[in-house]
Amino acid sequence: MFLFRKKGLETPQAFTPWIYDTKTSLASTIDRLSDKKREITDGEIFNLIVKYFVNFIVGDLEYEKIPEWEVHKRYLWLQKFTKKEWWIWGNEIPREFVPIIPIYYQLSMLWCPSTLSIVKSIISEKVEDILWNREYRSLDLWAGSGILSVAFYIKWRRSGLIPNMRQSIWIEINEDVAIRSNRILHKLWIGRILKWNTAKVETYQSLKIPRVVHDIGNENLPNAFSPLYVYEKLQEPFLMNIRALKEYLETLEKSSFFPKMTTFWVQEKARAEWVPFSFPVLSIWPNIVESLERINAQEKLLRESGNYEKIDSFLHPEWIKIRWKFVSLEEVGNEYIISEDSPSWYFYQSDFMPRRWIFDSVGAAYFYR
Amino acid sequence: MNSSLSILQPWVYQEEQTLQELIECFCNPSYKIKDSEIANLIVKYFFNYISPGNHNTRLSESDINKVFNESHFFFDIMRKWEKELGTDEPLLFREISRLEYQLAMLWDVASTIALFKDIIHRRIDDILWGRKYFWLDLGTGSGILLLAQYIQARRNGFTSFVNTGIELNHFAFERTQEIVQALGIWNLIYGNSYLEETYESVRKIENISFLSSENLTPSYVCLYDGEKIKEPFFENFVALAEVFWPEVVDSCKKFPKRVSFVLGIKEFVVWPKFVDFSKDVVEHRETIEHLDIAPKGMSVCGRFYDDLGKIWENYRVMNPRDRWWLVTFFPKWKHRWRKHTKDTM
Repeated sequence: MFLFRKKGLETPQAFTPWIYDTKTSLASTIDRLSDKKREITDGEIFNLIVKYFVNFIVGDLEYEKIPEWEVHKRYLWLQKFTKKEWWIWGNEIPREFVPIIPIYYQLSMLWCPSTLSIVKSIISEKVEDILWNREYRSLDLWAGSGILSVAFYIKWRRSGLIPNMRQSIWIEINEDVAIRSNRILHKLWIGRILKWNTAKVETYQSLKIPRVVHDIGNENLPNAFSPLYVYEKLQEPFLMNIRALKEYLETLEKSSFFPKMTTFWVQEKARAEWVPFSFPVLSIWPNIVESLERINAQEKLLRESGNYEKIDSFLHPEWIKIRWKFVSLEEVGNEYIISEDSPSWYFYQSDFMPRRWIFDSVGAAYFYR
Repeated sequence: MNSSLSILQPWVYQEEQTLQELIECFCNPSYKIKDSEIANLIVKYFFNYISPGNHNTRLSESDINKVFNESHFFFDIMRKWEKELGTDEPLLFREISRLEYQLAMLWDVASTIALFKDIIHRRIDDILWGRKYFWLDLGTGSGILLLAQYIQARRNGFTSFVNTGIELNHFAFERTQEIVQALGIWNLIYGNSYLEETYESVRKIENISFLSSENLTPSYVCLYDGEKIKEPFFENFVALAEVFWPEVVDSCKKFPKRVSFVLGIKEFVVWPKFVDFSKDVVEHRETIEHLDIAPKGMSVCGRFYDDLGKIWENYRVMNPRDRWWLVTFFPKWKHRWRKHTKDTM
């Protein structure tokens, strides 16, 4: 497959070359990570993400060894696309961009240091309490590439469970994305994706999703300091998902969410209407029913005042809890970027690299959602 | 009346199969469909559309050519004298003047072959579990693309699905409905495709597996004429995004896959963000008076044509002795994808 490489051209590098393992495929990387006798290393998680990334674009490479230059090349194209120099391209889209365009937003999740710390935080947990005597289940909302669900899967296997394909449920509404990630996850024997809308209760009812779920990934947050809901078109269904789940699930309080806590900065406009709680900052623990009820009460107040319809447009995410730390969304994964402070880590920083949760100069996530 | 013209090259037409038999053949996924067979199907569909109820009768080549020639003749008269509808006109004349716009698609056999071929060979994955699969055609007209959708669904192995078309023109709706009931393979909704009320009956499905909306004017012809909407391409997407989830509308498989529009001197390729783009257009239409936006090109069968008028060029006849061209050329008809001009080849 990779025979026809042009020689003599040096590809620019996206990461420090010594960290990339050329001898393992995606499947064997997952197997290694889920072996509980081994310790988790950042390098292996890095390999997981990077190989998943190439798989997601190219497809059908789950059990193949991917050469390093291939990864660098994919990265280069992604970077070129992110620059969005339309005036150079002219009317025709370069051939290499065509597979990237419909999945661009999901790629920003796959290629970035913040994903590394997310996956690490999920993997390093252990399943407590083997499951309230139930079958273990995970639910990933708006799964996108599905990397979170892979992390859940690894977490189970590390804590001694042998999960089957039925136990993990992932829902994604975008068809292009759902088809791709479905193909990968089916091949890896992890599971299958449902193409559906997670913000509605009817979805869960009619799909007959079990009412007891242990892990829930709801990481549908926009960039730092941009609202959940803009100009009557939905940006991220973070709150709507949680509301739907609250109606449907039996065990909301027991199940563990990712992120466990999210803090929102509330716009002053809305704050003026909130009589009992006029905090500039509002934090949401999706586990805890009280915090949800508080939000509903706030929204009710807003509606009664007659000015606003949705609370979502006034909430701007600011901090999330990752492992034991509260981290600003802009700073998640910064420790893995090479800079003057930490010269020894993996990712070379680039201004045009699409990153999750950061409103870069290009505004990638906003325009491509 | 010049009856010597034949619509297809003489070696292309096959008398043996009826319309229904052809469709059944096409629905078999292991059957390799030739271009000439698609041409056959379209021509037979045309005959059936002019005189419904003939989907199970065997049609000879002279039958087909007769209908084509007569309609050609009446269309010519219509253009010359710009006649108004009268009661004592012959039946065919009345039908042609009513269904002129819808028939333009079928008349333009050469480019319809390309569109039909594109839709038929798309691959649809089954990723919904226990849900309905929904094929939608906006502005059905003659219903030829609806038929293509049906064949596509069957070729992908779906047995139960919803295949729906929407048509505003009353005459066209009734005629297409007749064929619908005869073949028994799809639904039709009578209504305006850019109003949300039209989608009441299908709103609950909440999913679109395949969407074909070829509501386009010929290239460089504006979509809007002052207040009047000639073709509601963008309005359709705005309405759809409100009925279904915008993400669904953007990401579903659709025909055309990519379209380019000309606005002033700039050219935009609209893909994959159909909803955002059309929302912008519709918003600006209210504020700006002269929004001269016109379609220019689109991708068909994996190839991007910069001009809509070029789509037909693979299948028409330049030199009748070339045996690989399928369709002979009738210059006086109204064509779907080209500006209707008086000049001939």
